[in-house]
Amino acid sequence: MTLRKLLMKGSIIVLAIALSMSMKSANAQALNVAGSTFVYPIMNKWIQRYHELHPGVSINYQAIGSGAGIAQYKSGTVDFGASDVPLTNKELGTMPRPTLNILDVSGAIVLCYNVRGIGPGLHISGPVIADIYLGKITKWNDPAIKKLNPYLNLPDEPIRVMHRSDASGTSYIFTSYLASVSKAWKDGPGVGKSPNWPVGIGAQGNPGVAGLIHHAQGSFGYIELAYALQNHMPAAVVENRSGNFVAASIQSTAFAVNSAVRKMEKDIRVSIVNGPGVNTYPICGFSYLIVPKYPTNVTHGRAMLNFLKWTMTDEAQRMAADLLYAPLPESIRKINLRAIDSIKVR
Amino acid sequence: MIEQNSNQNPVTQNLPKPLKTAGFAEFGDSLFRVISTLFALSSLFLIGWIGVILYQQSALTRHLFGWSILTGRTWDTLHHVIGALPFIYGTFVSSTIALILAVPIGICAAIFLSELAPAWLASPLSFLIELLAAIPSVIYGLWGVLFLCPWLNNNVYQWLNNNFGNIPLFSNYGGYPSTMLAAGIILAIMILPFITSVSREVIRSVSQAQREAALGLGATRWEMIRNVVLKAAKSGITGAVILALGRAIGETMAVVMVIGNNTMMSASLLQPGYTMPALLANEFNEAWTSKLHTSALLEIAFILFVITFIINALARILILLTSRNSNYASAEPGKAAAMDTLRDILAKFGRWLMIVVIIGFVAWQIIGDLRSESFRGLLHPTEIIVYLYLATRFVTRITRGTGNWKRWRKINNGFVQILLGLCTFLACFILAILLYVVAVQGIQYLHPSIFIHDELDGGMSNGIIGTLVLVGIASAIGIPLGLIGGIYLSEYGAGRFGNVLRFSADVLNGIPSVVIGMFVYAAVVLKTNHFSAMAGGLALGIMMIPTIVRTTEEILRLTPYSLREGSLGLGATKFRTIRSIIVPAAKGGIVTGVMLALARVIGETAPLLFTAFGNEMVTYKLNSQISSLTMLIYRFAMDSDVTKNGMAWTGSLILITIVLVISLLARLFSRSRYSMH
Repeated sequence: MTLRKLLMKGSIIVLAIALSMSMKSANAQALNVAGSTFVYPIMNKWIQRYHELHPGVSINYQAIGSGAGIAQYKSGTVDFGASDVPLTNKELGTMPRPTLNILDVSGAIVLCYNVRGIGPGLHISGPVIADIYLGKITKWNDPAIKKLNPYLNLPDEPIRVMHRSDASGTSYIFTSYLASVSKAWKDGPGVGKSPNWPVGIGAQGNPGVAGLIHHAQGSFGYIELAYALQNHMPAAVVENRSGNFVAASIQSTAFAVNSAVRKMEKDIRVSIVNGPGVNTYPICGFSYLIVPKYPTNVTHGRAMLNFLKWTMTDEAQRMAADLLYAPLPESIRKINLRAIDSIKVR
Repeated sequence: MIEQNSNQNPVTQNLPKPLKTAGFAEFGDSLFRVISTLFALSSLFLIGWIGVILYQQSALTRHLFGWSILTGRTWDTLHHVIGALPFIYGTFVSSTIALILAVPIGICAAIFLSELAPAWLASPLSFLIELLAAIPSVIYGLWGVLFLCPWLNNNVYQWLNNNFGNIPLFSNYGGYPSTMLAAGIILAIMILPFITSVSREVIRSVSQAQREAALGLGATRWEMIRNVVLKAAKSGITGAVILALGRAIGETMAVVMVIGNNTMMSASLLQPGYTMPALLANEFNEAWTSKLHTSALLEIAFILFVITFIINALARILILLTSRNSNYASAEPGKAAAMDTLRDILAKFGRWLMIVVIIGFVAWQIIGDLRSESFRGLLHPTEIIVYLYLATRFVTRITRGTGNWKRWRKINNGFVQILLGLCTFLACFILAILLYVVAVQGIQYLHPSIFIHDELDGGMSNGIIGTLVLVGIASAIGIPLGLIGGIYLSEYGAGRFGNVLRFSADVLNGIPSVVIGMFVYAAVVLKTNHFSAMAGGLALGIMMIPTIVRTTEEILRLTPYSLREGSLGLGATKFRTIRSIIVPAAKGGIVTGVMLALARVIGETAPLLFTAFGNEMVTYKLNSQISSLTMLIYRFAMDSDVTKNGMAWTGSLILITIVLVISLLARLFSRSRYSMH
């Protein structure tokens, strides 16, 4: 009996504390955002920094994948979404409210591996990557890989192919690269956020794929550069359109971005995979924010507007560079600011 | 006419007037009856609603693909090709592996614990196994992906491939740590405690006189167990196995983390696969951009709903019509006999199927070995197992009826007893490893700061508080509905109507949580346009109802009938009797039921993914997104960051501690009078 009474009292006290705490947190602005895991590392840093600058605003970013971000934005469950694939005009038409694509960051997708005795610097080419993902190349010591790496002692082990199991903008950028270098891929699985993968095992989000690569010997998979950096994983050096082998970096990504600036002045929705240039890294992409043109919730809308403007400042872009996302060129930031200014909060 | 003039009767005039409240009390009685009927109807209503919503919302794919969705092998939403066969196949294969592994070990352990083990060993071990049945599935998944899969990949797969590679099940090793076999093993470990504890209960209820009679006739212990105990407990054990199958089929989190999520549909168990619940967990949140994709996923959920509905209904009918002491109103003998035959046919079919499959595979392996290594191939493990089996059969045949027969039976008896002990040891050993790994890994990051900081600052407070909020909402929904529903079933639900409600509560209990999550997403989240703690709490609350209904009913039935009679005889109304006499008398047991339900939902992950969605910060608002400890464990487990993995272990340690403490408290409360067993 006494135990029961004690429990009763305990639960009442817990409830009281919970209630008092809920009063305290009631006046903060909480924005809900969902989408791409590609931008999650930088988004996470931005949100923390922005919260330090503006303690009244907190942003809850759920990294659930681009497809999910768009879906949740469409069903109105989040204030704005984040996607590595911009909405096409047709998709914009199907949205329940006027919507803008706002360019966010650009980044590179790297091919990471976990092979005994092989450090960073494995050379690889587009067609070979495609063949691995098509299941045509299955061993690490396949002649095609050996030919590119004559000095490496490649083991006679199966290649464990990793991919995303959720709908992902990273997958979209990656498959559009594969389609640009391999006809078999273009005619087969095709370009999409969740294609029908011929081989390999799937995991949720960039962190999930990075986790699989980390845990499995002989693994090979594509992730955003920041994740490779965070986890100290070796990334392959990829052959670009001019036949040079280029490692992913801010600079080699920036070359890809700069080659597309002219086109982007007309429309920011461009693909920069397999871009021209001697030192251009071939697997790059942009990430976009999917935002409402006329936010219905005034306070949330205003908070969102200020946050978006802040992401275009030098400080925010420098933070991006720390995580190896290429900072946006001045001209593109101007285009973005114009788009952000067109958002009307009533 | 005389009655009407009774006011003039001097005798009645002197009597005190009947209390005016009597009319009100009667009204209160019928009001309570109506309300409790409504509450008790909630299970039936929910099952119907879930079915209707899932059926309606998947009309598009049914219209476009019809039945071909069940046979299509390609799932390519990009090119609008919808085929669910790989998921159906994966679901059945992984559950079958789980049954093949868990059923023999689980039943052997149950036999050992109830028949052979001394009391000082049996009671702590069975207590341990019962507690383990309450461990949340996401922890099995975490253990699977970070511990079991790498271990299997380093030690087991290659060996299986080398020694049994001629059988297609173990051919074609792809080198992936996440495989169909891993999913099967994890499921087996999950359902093992369930099978053991239910079978143990059934075996214990076999009457002692039967055992004594068999032993008195000269049977050895094993012969007594096989011919008497197991025969008597057959239907109960069959029911337990089918219920376990239902759990395995609907399991989401443990499977999605270890199966590899690939639609290739390989015959080899050493290749990745995919299951229906895993598909829902992976693709639920992006599907809503495309109507076709949405509809396809809801159809998968509907298929899952139908399959688990049938399995649970079958299991319940089997248990219900063959057991004498259930709360269901007793069945007609004719039906029971029909059910007995049905069960026997099922059992016979299962046995023959197994024999054919085993002979087929063994023959395949031997032929393959002969081909590759000629007669030296006859010295591999498969062949050695076959030799041993044939040898025992041979000895049985030649000794039967001779002087050595008795000795051989004794050897058999000893051998089987050792085997049963080993099975128990194996079951406890696996589960002990699980607990050990969680404790050792979890303690590394166990630090006060993870309770204080939220995810953005490297803590888990958003998850811990989220779990408390969600469970609070779930209790507010589930406990009243469950309690009053249970009271109705025990006090009013004697007839056929009561049986229907009982049955629907049992079936609702077996509907996979992922299906309930999909249902709440479609019914609430899409309607209100946002994820919320309310939606998550609702999903959990729905899951609490059946557990509480059934335990409350069971416990109220255990209160002596004389208490009711005494109270009614003193003039109390029925409502008053229930409120002041029966419920207080059964309080301990009721609290136990509530706590068991709490322990169950506190570890749920899958339905929260679609409803509460997650939040990186602490929140107490009921209409905002919210995180939970289980969702954090899932996300951290699948991360590449070693610190995050470590925090997943710590989260698991906290969660296991909470669940175990609740289970222990439940036991404590059930010690009081009129408790359950």
